Amino acid sequence: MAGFFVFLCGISMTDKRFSTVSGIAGAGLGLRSGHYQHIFETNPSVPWFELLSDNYMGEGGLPIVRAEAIRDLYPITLHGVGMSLGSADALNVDYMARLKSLADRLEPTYVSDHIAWVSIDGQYTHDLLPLPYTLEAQKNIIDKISQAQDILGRTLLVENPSSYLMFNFSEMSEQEFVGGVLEQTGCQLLLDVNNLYVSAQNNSFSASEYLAALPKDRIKEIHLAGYENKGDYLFDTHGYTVRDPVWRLYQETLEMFGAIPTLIEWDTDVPDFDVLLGESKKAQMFLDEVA
Amino acid sequence: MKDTKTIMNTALAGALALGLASVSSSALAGKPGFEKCQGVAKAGMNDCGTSKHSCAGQSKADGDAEEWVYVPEGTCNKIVGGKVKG
Amino acid sequence: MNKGMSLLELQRLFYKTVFDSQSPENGEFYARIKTTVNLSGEQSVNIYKDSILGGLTDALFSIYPVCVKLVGEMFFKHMVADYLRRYPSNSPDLGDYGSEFSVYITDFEPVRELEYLADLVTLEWSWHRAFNAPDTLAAGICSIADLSTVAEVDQGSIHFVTTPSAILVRSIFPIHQIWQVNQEDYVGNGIVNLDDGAVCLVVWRNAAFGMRIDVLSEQEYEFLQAVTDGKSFSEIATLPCASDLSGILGRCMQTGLIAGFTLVK
Repeated sequence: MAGFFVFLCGISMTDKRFSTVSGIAGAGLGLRSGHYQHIFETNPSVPWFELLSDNYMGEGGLPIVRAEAIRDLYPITLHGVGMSLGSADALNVDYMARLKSLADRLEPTYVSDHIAWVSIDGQYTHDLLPLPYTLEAQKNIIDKISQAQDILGRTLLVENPSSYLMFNFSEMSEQEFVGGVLEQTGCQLLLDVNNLYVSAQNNSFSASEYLAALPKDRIKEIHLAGYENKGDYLFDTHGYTVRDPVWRLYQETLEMFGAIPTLIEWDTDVPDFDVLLGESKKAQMFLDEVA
Repeated sequence: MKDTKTIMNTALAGALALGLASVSSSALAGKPGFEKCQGVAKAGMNDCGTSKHSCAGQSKADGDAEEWVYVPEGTCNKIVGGKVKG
Repeated sequence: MNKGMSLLELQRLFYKTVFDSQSPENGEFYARIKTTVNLSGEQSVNIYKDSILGGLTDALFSIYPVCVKLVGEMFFKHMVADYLRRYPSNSPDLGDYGSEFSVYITDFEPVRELEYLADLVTLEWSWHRAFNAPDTLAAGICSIADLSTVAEVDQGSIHFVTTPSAILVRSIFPIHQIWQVNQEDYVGNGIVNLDDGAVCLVVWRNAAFGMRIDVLSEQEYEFLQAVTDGKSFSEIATLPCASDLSGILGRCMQTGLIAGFTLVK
C-alpha cells in the first residue's frame, strides 16, 4: 500500500506506518549518507539498518528527517563512538542527554557503543583507543556503562574494538575483561568478528579461545567488515569486502552461539549500494545454515 | 521626518499586506542568491569517525615542514584584483 | 613485572604522544606497550596517531571544501596539521570541530596574501552550522502571522526573531562569488575580481531544507543585524534602514528569514 509522499529536496517521506517495527533479525546494513537516495527510491529488501548516532546529534535539519524516514520503513539500531565509556573522565552527560532524546525519537531496537576510550580531559580524538586490561580500567568502564544505562533507561550493547597494541601491565586477557563487564553491568555484547580477528592477529592471541570464554546468551548483534593487510599488521579500515578468514571465524561464531543478527559495515570508499547488499546476502547464507 | 510610531505602523501594515513566507527563492537586495539541495551531497560528519580506523594519517606532516614548499596551488590563482598581485 | 600506571595517567600520556610528537615523555609511554612480532611500541602508537590526525583532517576537508580548492589539497593538509595540535576537539560530535579555523588562518603566515581566505572560511563554517541548525523556533516565540494582533501601543516592544538557521556574514571581498565559482556544478572561467568589493550575506536554510546564500543590501543587513542583536522594533525604527522598513520587513517575512517575534514590554 502506497503511503503519502512528500518530496523535499529529493527525499520522499512516507507517512508513519501503522505497524510498529521492533526487533531485528537476519543480516542488516550500516546506513551511509550516500545511499539515502537509492534506499528511498527503491525500498530495497534489507531486514534492518544501523544508523551512526553521532550523525544525528545536530539540533535539526535534513539528517534527522532522513533518519526518521528510514525508521518508518525499516527496524533500526543506533551505533555510536561518542560515549567514551573507557575514559577516566566523567561521563559526558550532555552527550548522553542528546543521545537519549535521539533514541526516544527514533525508537531503535538497540543502542550501542564501544569498549574503548575516545576522549581525555574533555578533549576528543574521535578514534577508538585501547584500554589497559586492569582491574582499575574494568571498574571504571563498569561504572560508566551502568551510568549510561541509567540515563538511557535501556540496556546497552558494547562492542569489542580492533586494536594494534596491548599494554604490558594488563592484568587479564581481553575476554576476561569483557566477560567481567557483561557480568557486572548486565549490558549485552556486540561482537565484531572482524575486530576480533584483526586484534587476535595483531596481538597474537587465539580468536577461538576468546569466543569460547564468552557467556553464551549475551551476544545480541554481530558486526562484519573488511580489513586491509598492511604486511606488518592488519588494519581495520572498513573499506573492503569481508575477508575469507573473517567469514570462517563468523561461521565458527554462529556454530557456537546460533543465528545472531549480523551487520555489514563499510566506511572507507563506500561502494554502490548493491555491493553492500551482496555482502549482507552472503552473511544471510551463513545465518540460514545455522537457523 | 516621520516619528518612529508612524514608521513602525506603516512598515507592519505594508509588510503584512505582502503576505507571509510566500516565496521560497528570495530576491533580497534585488539580487538572486544561491540555493543548494544537499539531500545527497553532504555526508554525515561522523562518517569520518566511525568505528573504523583511518589511513588518512599525517604523522609525516609535522616532521618535514622544511621540505614542504609553502605555496598554495589551487584556484586561488584565479582571484584577481585587490591589493594582492598574483 | 611491568610497572603500571593509572588509567588517567595512561590516557593523558597517550593523548600527548599523539598530539606532541616531540614530547620527551613519549618514550615513557612506548615503554608500556607490549611489542608485537612485527611492530615496536612507537610503530603501534603511530597507527593510532595517523588514524586520529587523519580523521580530524578529513573532518576539516569536508567542512571547508572551497578553501581546499583555493589552496590545493596538499597545501590544505599541511595548513591544518598545526591547527589539529593547537585546537583540540571539545565535543563528541565531529561536526562541532573546526569553528576556530578562520581565526587560525588569520595568523597563518603562508596565506597572509590571500586576505579574503579567513572570511571565505567563515562563510563555509556558517554554511556547515546552518545545515544542522534547529528546525523550529524556540518555545515562547510567536508566529509572524500573529503580528496583526499586536496593539498599536505595543508595536515598539516587538522583538523580531530570525529563522534559527540564519547567520549573517560580511566581508570587504566578494566571498560569495569566490564560493560560487568553486562549486562542483559551476560553469565558467572561475575568475573573481576582488575589486568587486564588499558584500553583505545571509547563510540559511529554507523550509524545504534548501541551503541558501543570499546577498543583502546594506540596509537589509543592518536590519537583520539589529534583530540578531536583540534590538526592539522601536530601536530599529531609528536606524538608517528605517527609511525602507516596510520593504525590508516585507521581504524578510516573505522569504521566511524573519520567522517570529516576541513582545518584551
